[in-house]
Amino acid sequence: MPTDQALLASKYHGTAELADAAARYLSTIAPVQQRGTVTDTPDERTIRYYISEELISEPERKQGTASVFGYRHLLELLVIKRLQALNYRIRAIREVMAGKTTAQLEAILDEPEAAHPMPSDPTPVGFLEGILAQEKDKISGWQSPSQALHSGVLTQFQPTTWQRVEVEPGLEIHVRDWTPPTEHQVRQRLAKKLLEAAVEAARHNEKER
Amino acid sequence: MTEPLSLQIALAPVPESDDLTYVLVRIAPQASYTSGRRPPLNFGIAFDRSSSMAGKKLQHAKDAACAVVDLLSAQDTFSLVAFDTDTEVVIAATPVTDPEALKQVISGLRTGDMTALHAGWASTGIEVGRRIGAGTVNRIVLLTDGIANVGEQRPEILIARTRELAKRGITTSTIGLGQDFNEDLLIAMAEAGGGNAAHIALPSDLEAALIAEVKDAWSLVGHAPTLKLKAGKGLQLVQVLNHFPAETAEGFQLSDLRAGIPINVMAVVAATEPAGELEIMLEWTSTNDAERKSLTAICLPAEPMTPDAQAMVHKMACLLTIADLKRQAVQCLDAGRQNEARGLIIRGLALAVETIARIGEDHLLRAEMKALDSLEAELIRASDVQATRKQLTYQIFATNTQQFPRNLIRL
Repeated sequence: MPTDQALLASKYHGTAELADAAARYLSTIAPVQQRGTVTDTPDERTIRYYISEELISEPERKQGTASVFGYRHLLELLVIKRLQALNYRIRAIREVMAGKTTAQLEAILDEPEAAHPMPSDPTPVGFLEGILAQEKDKISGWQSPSQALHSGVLTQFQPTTWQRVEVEPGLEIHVRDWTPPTEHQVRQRLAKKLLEAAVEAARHNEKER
Repeated sequence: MTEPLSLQIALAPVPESDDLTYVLVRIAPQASYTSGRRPPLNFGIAFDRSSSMAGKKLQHAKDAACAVVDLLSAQDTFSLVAFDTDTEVVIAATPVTDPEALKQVISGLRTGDMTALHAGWASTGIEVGRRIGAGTVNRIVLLTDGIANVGEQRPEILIARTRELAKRGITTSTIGLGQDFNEDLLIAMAEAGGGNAAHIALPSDLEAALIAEVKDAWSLVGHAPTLKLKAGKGLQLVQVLNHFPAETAEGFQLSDLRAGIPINVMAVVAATEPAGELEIMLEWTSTNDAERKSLTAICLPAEPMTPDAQAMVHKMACLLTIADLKRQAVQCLDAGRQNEARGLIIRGLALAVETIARIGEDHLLRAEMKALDSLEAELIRASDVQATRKQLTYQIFATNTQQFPRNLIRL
């Protein structure tokens, strides 16, 4: 990321300007997500969520009604998106970013492994347990819609690649490059997972109302 | 106890050059070292039971795991971790006192869903790691037919972690089954892990592959070897022909040292003074006492050599150069330039012919020519480029780690 003087001094008036600035950089630094579980570029609502979750620092000041953001805010936002693209959960991102200096955040942006360096334990068991503990902090692949809702980042569906299927009124599933499992047990497990996710999302909606 | 290996050096002038010399460093563990006894084995299988393993593959894989159990005894430890979407420690690391009970557990394995390759490997490593003892040979064999699609999937991370585990005393070998796995990842993991990489096209060959792993582990003399080459005054190290997975401050990382299986490292040096010296430093962890050992030799590239020694150097230089041409051929295949790949294979054939003309008949070079002929024919047919790619990559690995068919070793 170019940390030239102009960038360091840049101010963004309102979440929309901050989101635009992040989008410009993300197009070059974020790897493409395989599963489309989070938005590639942050929108205003997402930024407000990150601030409420204290992933992004409070705005520097208010100018009229608009919040004013600076380089640190942009960096925080880019690190969040970078780690999300590498399947880090929000909780893990919070742990990684806590107490980090600007230079440390820049290091994570350049090399995300800086977020979780190789465990230094000299024993094989300690080393591997350290690795598996890191893995637990990452999304293992599939993310339920309710998890996406709770994390405040909604799936951005691409109409060209996603097929929407209404299962029954009020329940819709979205299908992309997915091969249905053939084994009975696997199908049953999937059906259970889908039902649990739908029930959890319905409960969440109910609470919101 | 005297350490069971020696460093041997042979030299030959590089053809068509005035000042370049091939330096062949041969790390030669004694064949007789392990005869009559074997170290206790701590053997863990990371067992892919994803949905694609269903049917014959699973049955043969289970039979192969049972055959391993049959080979082991009460002094050995066995563990098996099955992985699909999740991992399951099917057999926690345990001494093989009741093989029938272990085989019964293995027979009960069923297929699951996806391929959590990384977690499967790491969990097996934890089981093996729990039973590390002085003098044990500790090995994971990762058996898979697919591509990692759950959890950590970045090859560079998997490879780095395998290397770190090797430094902590556990070797990783990999067995790829069928045609749908990622050979680049499995070979790189084996290189980084100090172990073997095998490609098994037919499930019925799995048993032989796993048994070969056990026997290979029994022949282990040294773990995590590194080799450092340092050119002194009046000498320049121009190139090392082997493609080693990593060069660190400790030197090149070599594959584990096996009794009777030499590792040949080929360097090219340029002497600016007749008295120029090359310092060769080998380090490894002995399987005798788990202590780090070292051996140093000094080479004078100006030293005269017998014709036999020079012939050996030319043969190894030829094989390693062919491995490099194969590596370029793989890159051509990846770019869709099959004709170019074929051209490189033909260049390899010409080099082998030229070398035989220089040094006389040689079993190993004839075997290499046969392999190149077969590759060329496959590239003309172009019926299954991915299968040809797999053959190429495994042949490169075999040359680099000196895993030639053992009956052909005539060095």
